[in-house]
Amino acid sequence: MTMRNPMGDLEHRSCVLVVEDEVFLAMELETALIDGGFRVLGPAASVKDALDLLGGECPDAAVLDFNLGRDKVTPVALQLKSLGVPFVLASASSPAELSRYAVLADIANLGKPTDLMRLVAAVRALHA
Amino acid sequence: MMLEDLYRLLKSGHVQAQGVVDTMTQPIVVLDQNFSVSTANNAFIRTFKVNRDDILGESFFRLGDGQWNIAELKNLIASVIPKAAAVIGFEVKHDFPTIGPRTFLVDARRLIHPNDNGTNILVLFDDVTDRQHHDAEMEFIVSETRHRMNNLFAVVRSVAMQTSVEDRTAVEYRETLLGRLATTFRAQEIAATNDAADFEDILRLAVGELGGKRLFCEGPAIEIESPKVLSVSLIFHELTTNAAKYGAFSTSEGQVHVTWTLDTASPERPYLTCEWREENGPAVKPPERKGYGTKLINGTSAQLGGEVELIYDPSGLTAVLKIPV
Repeated sequence: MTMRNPMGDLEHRSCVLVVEDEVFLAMELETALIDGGFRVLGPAASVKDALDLLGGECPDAAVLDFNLGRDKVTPVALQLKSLGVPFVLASASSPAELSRYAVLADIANLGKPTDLMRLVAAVRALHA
Repeated sequence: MMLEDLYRLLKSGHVQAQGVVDTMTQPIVVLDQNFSVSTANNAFIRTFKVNRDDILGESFFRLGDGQWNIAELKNLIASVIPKAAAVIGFEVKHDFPTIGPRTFLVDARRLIHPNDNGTNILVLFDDVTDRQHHDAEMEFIVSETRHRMNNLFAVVRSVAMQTSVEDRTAVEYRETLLGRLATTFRAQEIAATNDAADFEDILRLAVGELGGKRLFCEGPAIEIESPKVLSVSLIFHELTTNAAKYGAFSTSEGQVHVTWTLDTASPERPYLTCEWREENGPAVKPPERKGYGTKLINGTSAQLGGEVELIYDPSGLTAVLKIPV
């Protein structure tokens, strides 16, 4: 996957799925990614919404929160893996908790509160 | 320590020792050199739900259909005899047929009778199942609390970052920030303690005192799932803030009429359609630029998988909200 002209037309920007249930955080991620030259799919607040979005469009990368209300994001992670879409986590969960899920084993977690500069850099690196 | 005391007492007098053994709250058995039970205290009988008569003289490892025939325990006890050593706090996890899965810390010590050189083995069981459960629970609570604190801080930080400082005094900024935080925390409180909340309750809570006798609600009871409570609250909070500044809540005659219906045309994805209509307020004109409040209303509706339309009718703002429920 190659990085297209980041500041190009909206349609030509790389598309990043955002899954985050806290509305303020979701909007902050969305703004940071758009400012970073991406197009945002979502933000989705639940596993169901995220899977619905993935049914309609396959993004180039994704940023996932881990806890979505009482659900975990793992079904979305599995779907992304099977689609071959690289992703990072932005979650306050401990490494111990995340390590319980095989699908998240080699996934970087940028933590929460999230350093947005680092996040955008990490999403860019997913393309490299 | 307890084991040392027991050892001394057992040497000094059998009767006295028997009394001590029986008084102990932890299960204790004394085995002979063939691993047959020579004494079992009351705690042992009680804990493992066995009959004293059934076990005395029987091989320990064959007791209760061999429920004690646990390789690690057998090795442990067997190793005590040649080494004459005490084994302290050896953890045995086992699913017992009568009492279920348990974790014991087992102490074992060889007792040598001064008179005849006969060997006995004293085995003491400390049931730590509940203690370990409790520790695991505490660990979970601590980690969950840490997680929530981080999350909460992330939200506060995010609200502060996104609340605009342009064209605002510090006091205005503070009030806007605190208003959003209060709405966020109230909604989180509802979400944390309930699976769902009633739409009208969320609406009235978000509008707050400004609503008074000027907020008119009409619509069926609709449950909003707890993960969506914050978003719905925020939409009404921002509409209220806007109405207080420029709309119907900025004058004493102004009114806000909120009506809603449940659209079940697509049964697997029912939609809530809600109209917020301001009346008798000052004349309304569209804002020159979209503020964060508007962006928040739009972003929040989109996050709910729905949409919102803001109609700046001169006679009053109307917001039409459509969200899946």
